[in-house]
Amino acid sequence: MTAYTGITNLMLSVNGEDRLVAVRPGDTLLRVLREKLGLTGTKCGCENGDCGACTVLVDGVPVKSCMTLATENEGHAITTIEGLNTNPVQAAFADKNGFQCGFCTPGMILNAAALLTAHPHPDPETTREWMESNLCRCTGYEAIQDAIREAVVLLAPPVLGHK
Amino acid sequence: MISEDISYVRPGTAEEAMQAWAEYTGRPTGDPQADNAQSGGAQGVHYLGGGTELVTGARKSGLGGKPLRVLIDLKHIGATRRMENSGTTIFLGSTLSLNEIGDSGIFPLLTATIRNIADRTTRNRLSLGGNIAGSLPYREAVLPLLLADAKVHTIKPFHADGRDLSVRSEHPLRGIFDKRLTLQTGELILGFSFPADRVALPWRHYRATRTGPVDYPLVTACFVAGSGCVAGSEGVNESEGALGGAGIAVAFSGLFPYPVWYASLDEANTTLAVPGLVRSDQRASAEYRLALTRDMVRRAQEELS
Repeated sequence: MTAYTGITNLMLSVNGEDRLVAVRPGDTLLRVLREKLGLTGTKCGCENGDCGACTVLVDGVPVKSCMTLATENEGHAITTIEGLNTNPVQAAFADKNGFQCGFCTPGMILNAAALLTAHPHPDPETTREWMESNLCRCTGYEAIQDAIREAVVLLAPPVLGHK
Repeated sequence: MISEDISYVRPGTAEEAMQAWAEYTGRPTGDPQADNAQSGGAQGVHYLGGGTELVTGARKSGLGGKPLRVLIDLKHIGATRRMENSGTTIFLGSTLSLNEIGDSGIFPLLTATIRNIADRTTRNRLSLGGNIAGSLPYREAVLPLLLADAKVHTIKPFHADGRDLSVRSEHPLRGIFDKRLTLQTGELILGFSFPADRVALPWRHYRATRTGPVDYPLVTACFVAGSGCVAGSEGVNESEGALGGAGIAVAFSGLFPYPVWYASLDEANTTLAVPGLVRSDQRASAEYRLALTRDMVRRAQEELS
């Protein structure tokens, strides 16, 4: 049985690296990522689980980091937007202007990347179900949908032609 | 972050969870009266499933005005992570996330119900036990389990002869669900089981919200048709168990300030006719909720008969 009280050194696996951080058991993963590890790409929006700006991947699954404690995620692989380096989803969002102010974009991209890993060719209903977890206050949803459609193409394996 | 200095405990077995509960709350005796008398010690000690309600609530304003002291994380207890269909019985562990259950398709009515709770990312953490035993009044995941006549598997701590002990129990869900689960202090849900043939019964699920799909329900209704859908529970009396082959059982959330189920539509209609019972608030009037409900009942009757 593991128990943490007071300030504890916790080993977190973040973006493929082991990171030792001193945390209080009540620290959310969001606060630890931003304030202890300087990974400010993860945004603090509503801090109530509504907006999805703080979405990170835990073992490849989207999770709202404001609603999970850092201690809960010990031993799990955490991926933030900084760890999604050169993912085609990022290129698609840039190409299709899938952002306006950009605050929701890290959460959107991580959720979209997880969606396309689970469903390489998602139908509109599946895309809607996954992406309605993230709110865009600029209401730029049209361009975000375009970006996801383009990402589907970018991520598809090349079709081999016949001679 | 949670402002209080709390302790986080991660037991690997249900017995360790009981040991942790006893350590942080005082020694339960198994005698409800004595335990209630010392339940002040249990204040601030909570079992942690997905944490979607607990972490947010503790961070914002405390939990019912009481400070949080200890979280006992249940997600590493094997029994609470079990999802199994033995052919005759289905078991769903309490810390399985709603998406893990919904995506498995193990119980189609439960899948349909789950896919409308919160949003998908939240459902990656929201646990079955947390949805049913949490403080929000909707508890939509309990509706299919009530209709399936599920059993609740629990473990509870007690102290005897100077030793910390625990005892496992099975309760009929219908017998211990009275507006909410009525468990003893410290009693922990390991999971829910129900006969596998219940998932094959014809069903319908309808849900109405005020805004979009990600919203609390004005009314959620689950309907199950066919004989056998209500018989056989210790918590059900003879007349409730006498549902005929063409009968339809129904469970509602949002309609009243708590979830309910009825063995027949006649029984539901009788309650709906009682004035003042249906919830009325700033989100919807009782009249509107009733109109939505009557439409759902009509559709279910048409589609299931």
